[in-house]
Amino acid sequence: MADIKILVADDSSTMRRILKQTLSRIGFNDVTEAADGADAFAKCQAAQFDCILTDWNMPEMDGLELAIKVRAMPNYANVPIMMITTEGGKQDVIEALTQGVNQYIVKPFNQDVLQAKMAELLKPKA
Amino acid sequence: MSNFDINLFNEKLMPAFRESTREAFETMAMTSIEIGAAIPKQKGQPEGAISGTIGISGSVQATAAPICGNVSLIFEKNTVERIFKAMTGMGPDETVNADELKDVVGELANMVAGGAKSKTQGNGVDFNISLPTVVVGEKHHLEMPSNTKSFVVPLKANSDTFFLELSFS
Repeated sequence: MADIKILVADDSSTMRRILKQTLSRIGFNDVTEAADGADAFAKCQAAQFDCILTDWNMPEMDGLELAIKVRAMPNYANVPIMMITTEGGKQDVIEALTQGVNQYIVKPFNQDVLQAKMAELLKPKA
Repeated sequence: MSNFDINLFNEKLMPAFRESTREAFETMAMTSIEIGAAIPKQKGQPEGAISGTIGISGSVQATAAPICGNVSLIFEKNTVERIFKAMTGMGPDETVNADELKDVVGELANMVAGGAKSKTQGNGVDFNISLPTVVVGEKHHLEMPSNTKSFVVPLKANSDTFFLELSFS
């Protein structure tokens, strides 16, 4: 798992730190941070990531807009995207999944949840 | 004139906020908290050194009655430092900087409001939440407009006391 390049987008530096630490504990060490959706989108244009973990509510560009814009890029058409957000309503989840998000975690979360969702996210498609 | 509905507050909003507050602190900070009873806010109280506020706006599904308000968390600085260290695994002697304190207070307020939003959505109340606003200043308190009903819920983690404040117009 060491060679999987992960982009984490969250406007909270605390959440980015927690995500980076938790990902490291479960074997993912190549993590790039983005401070909002616009920053994340710029980083996707500049480099190729293997998966994207994004918050929903962020200034500049939110996570849903990020997912839509990233999905429109040919080299990101099949890159797994996971939303990690406080927006846990049923309609929110449906909207995100409809717009190209593959997995969804509602904050607050623990390591076990992140590990299980990462396994699902990165599972090879049949 | 206020549209505040005390039954809605007691039966749907308050239980959702209590549960989301417990989940946020116990899951992210691995800190067990005691949640006191909601009491009407007294002028100038509660005081704290750092507070995070999320605006909420929505309606009751059955009646379309509007809901508008704020949810705030109010802390002393030492309390936030201890919570930040518990959340991030930082050592007790490491220094937490001012930006980190502001960030974690905003994020905790976000989790409390977002969690309550999810819980009330399945219980007849829909609301959206804003991005957090954080205020820093020794012994500050939050002032609300006169048509607002505000309640304070004392929270206790170990020896630290901090506050959840809910205001609805």
